[in-house]
Order: sequence, then structure tokens, then C-alpha cells
Amino acid sequence: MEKELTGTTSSIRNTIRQQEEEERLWIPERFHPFFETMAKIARFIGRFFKNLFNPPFETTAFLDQCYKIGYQSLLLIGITAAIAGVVFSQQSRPSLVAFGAQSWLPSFVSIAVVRSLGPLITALICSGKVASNIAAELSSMRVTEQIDAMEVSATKPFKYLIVTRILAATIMIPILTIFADTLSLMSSFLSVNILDQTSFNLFFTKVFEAISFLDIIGSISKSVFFGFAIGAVACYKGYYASKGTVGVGKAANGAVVTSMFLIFIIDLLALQVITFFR
Amino acid sequence: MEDQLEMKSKPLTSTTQKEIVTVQNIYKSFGEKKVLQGVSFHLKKGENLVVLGKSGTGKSVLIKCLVGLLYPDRGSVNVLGENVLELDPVALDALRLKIGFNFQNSALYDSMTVRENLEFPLKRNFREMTEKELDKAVDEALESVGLSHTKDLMPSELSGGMRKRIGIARTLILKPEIMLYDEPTSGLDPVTAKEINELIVEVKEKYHTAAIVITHDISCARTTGDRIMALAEGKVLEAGTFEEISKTDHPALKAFFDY
Repeated sequence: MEKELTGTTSSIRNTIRQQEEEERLWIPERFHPFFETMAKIARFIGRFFKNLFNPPFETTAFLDQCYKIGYQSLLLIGITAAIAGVVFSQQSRPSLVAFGAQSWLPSFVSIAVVRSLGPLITALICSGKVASNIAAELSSMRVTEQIDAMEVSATKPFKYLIVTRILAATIMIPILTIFADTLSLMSSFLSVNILDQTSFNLFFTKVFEAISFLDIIGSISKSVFFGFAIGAVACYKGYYASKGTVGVGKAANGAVVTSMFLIFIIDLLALQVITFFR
Repeated sequence: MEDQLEMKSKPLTSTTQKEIVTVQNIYKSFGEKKVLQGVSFHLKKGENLVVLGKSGTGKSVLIKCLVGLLYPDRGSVNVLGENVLELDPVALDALRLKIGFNFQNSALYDSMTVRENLEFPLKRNFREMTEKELDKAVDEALESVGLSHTKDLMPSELSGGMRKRIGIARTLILKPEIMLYDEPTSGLDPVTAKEINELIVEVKEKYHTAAIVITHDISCARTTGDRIMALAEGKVLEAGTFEEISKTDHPALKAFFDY
């Protein structure tokens, strides 16, 4: 009886294996590594969500990451956003003046900054600063067997290292975006004020008239996705870095390039969704 | 063939002692490279087993299979009565708490102080522990490796030998039943290497642990091992006491003793 059962089980296994082989034949062999990587990424993200809601929570490590990703990026994001605000308003002004529409400048700047410039600048700066940092840190931990050491002492490194970083990036990047939008508009006002003597009240009345609730929600929502993408890509590249110091460089580089690419893809998709609701 | 290899394994300790690690016929390949090719051995309670072999013979891969860091392609791994290959993550973590794994380069967390390194596994596995209890455990572990004064130092401020000792203290703090040492004396000067060898023996006597010591260092094998198992090209060549192994005629093994 037992033998019969064993025989049935193995024949089922063989049939499943044959079916899998047949299914694989539909995909050319050169694409197999691509799909295997996709499956690995999907499992990684699934593992993130599984660990995210399962206690115990690594609150201290999460707050530490929020400080590193958020607070330590404030200066860089602030300066970049302020410069972008000045440059954008000064470059747009001559064209608007030519059409006699310079009073539209605050509206023009606010739409550009809130809808696109602010989230994009923040995400791209964070991609360079945060993603490279996370990937380099995790990959060097992998190379020096520190992650293995955590694994064998049952300390759940995925929860401690990965969940905290992805969550912190997902939360902090929208906050940094709001900060960047504010500074960008402020610097734009200063730039306009020097040339046109516009009052603060008038400038910001025009700013808020031009943007809708959907613009603000859309901007913050896509920043959440930007943050998640930056955190997830950086952690994935770092956590699965290959051995050796070359692996550290490759992980950091791969994290920046992939997350920047993803940011533009997400921006494009977000635009379609927001336009649908507009 | 496998049976013959098993027959060569002559445990020094009494046969009535309980086997706490049983590895049977494991195979492991990385792509085309065959690393382990049918390795079988056992470890008894309170015994120090030295796995001796040249670099690249699969020694580290072998002990990584014991803690589920790597999984063999074939064969079975039984540790403390558990089949490692069939454990779910929770059960695997519970088993890992009973095994102290010492990495070749110590693998200290370089962003943490020595104290934080030692507290890290405790805080995550025994969340109810008070600060006072944590302090006591850290002090005890550091005292057992003779480095009480390094508590507030960063790993980068420690010498190679000190890092090895702190690595051992970090595993001892969880009071494991089995210690695994991956090349404990590699990269150390002969004096420090001797101190580490003595520490491995001390740990066995004080904490009543069994251990598997991976090494290519003959003096380490002689000092720390109750039984030696020689590995070459992913296969067990010989097993026995140091004296038995040292009389071998096998060319790959003889080179160790002639050197």
C-alpha cells in the first residue's frame, strides 16, 4: 500500500515536472535569467510585506533609518530644490513676458513644482544619496558575512536590515518631497520678488489657485512609490550582492541606475492614473 | 564506498555517547563545481571534531550546511535531533540558537561597539531581558574570552586575535550546545593562534560544548581536536585521532604533516 502511494506521488511529480518543462519551452532560453530575477524580486517584495506586519517590530532601527534617510538628506534636498525653483522661474519668465503673461508665473511654477519637479528632484537626489548608501552598506555586510552572522544567531536580519530601510524610505521621501516643494516655491517667490516686486500674499494666492487637491495627493502618492522603489531596489541589490569587493561597487551602482530608471517609469504611470482622475 | 569511508571514522569518545550531529552522504555543487561529494560524519556530545583540509575542499560549505546557510543538493543533515533540511524558518531559528557559528573573519557588526555586538542576539531573541541582565551576560561572555576592557571599543579598534575572541564571546552569550569554528587561527601570528586554540579547549571544558573546528592548521588540529576528519576534493579521506591520522600514507594528507 505504502509502495503504491509512493509510486503515485512520484508519477504526479513527474507529470508536474513535464508540464513545467513544456511551459518553459514557450519562453526563449535567453530570457530565463530575466524571469528568474523577476521571480526573485517578487519573492523579496512579498517577504517584505510578510515581515512588515508580523511583530516584533524593529522600532529603534526604523527610527534610526528615518533619521539617516530623512534628516540627513534635508540640507542636500533643500539646496537643490531652492536652486531648481530659482532656475525654473528665471528661465520661464522671458517666455511669459513675451506673451504678456508674466502674472501667470506663480501658477506656472506651482504646477510644475508640485506636479513634477518637486517629487522628481527629491527622488533622483535620494536615488543617488540614499540608494547607493543602503546598497553599499548592505553589500559590504553581505561580503564580510555580517548578514550570515545575524542569520545564524536567529536575529532575523531581513526584518532588522531590510524592512526598516524600505519602510523608512517609503515614509521619508514623501516628507522630503513636501519640504522640497515648499523650498522650491519659496525660492521662486524670492526670485520673482527681486525682479517684479510681487507680494508674498499675491504670489502664494496665485500658487494655491493653480493647484488642486488632486495635484497635492498625486504628488505625495507618487513620492510614496518613488520611496518604496528606491528602498526596495537598494535593499535588493545590497542584500543579494555577490561576494567580493567588486560586488559592493556593482550593488551601489546597480541600485542607483535601476532606481533612477524606475522613478521615471513610475512617474509616467502616475501621470496616466492622475490624468484619468482629473 | 561511502560505507568504507564511514568505517574509517573511529570516534575517540565512548560509543554510548549521544550523536548530536549526523551528516549522511551530502553532495553540494555550485554550477559545474562539485564541492562536496558524498560526505558523511557524526559528532558526539562533548566532542571536538576537527575537519582538516586544504583551502577549497568544501570545509566551510560543510558547516554552513549544518546551520541552514547553505542546503546540500542531496543527503541528510541531522543536528540535535532535527532534520535541518526540513525545518520551517521558526524551527530553524530555534535550532540555530543552540549552535554558535564563528566565522573566519569574525563577522563582527562594524557599525556597533563590542557591547552592542554581544547584546544584539540577546536583545532580539530574549526581548524580556532587562538592561541589568544584558550587562551581566555581556560581562560574563567578555570575561570568558579575557577581553572585559574592550566593551566600548569599535571592531575597527581591535586586533585580529581580539576580533576572533569577541566573535567567540558573541556566540557563547547564547549558551550554545555546539560550537562551529571556521578557520579560527587563519591570519593570526603563531602566539595569538596558540591562544585561540587554548581558548577553544577552554570553551569546551567550561561550557561543555561539542565543536566542529574547520582548519588547515596542523597545530590547531592537534590542540583542539579529539578526533580529526580529513577532507580532500569534497570527500572524506581519513578519520581518527591525531596520532592515527599523522601516520597516514595518503599523499594529500601526508603533505600536512611533512610540512
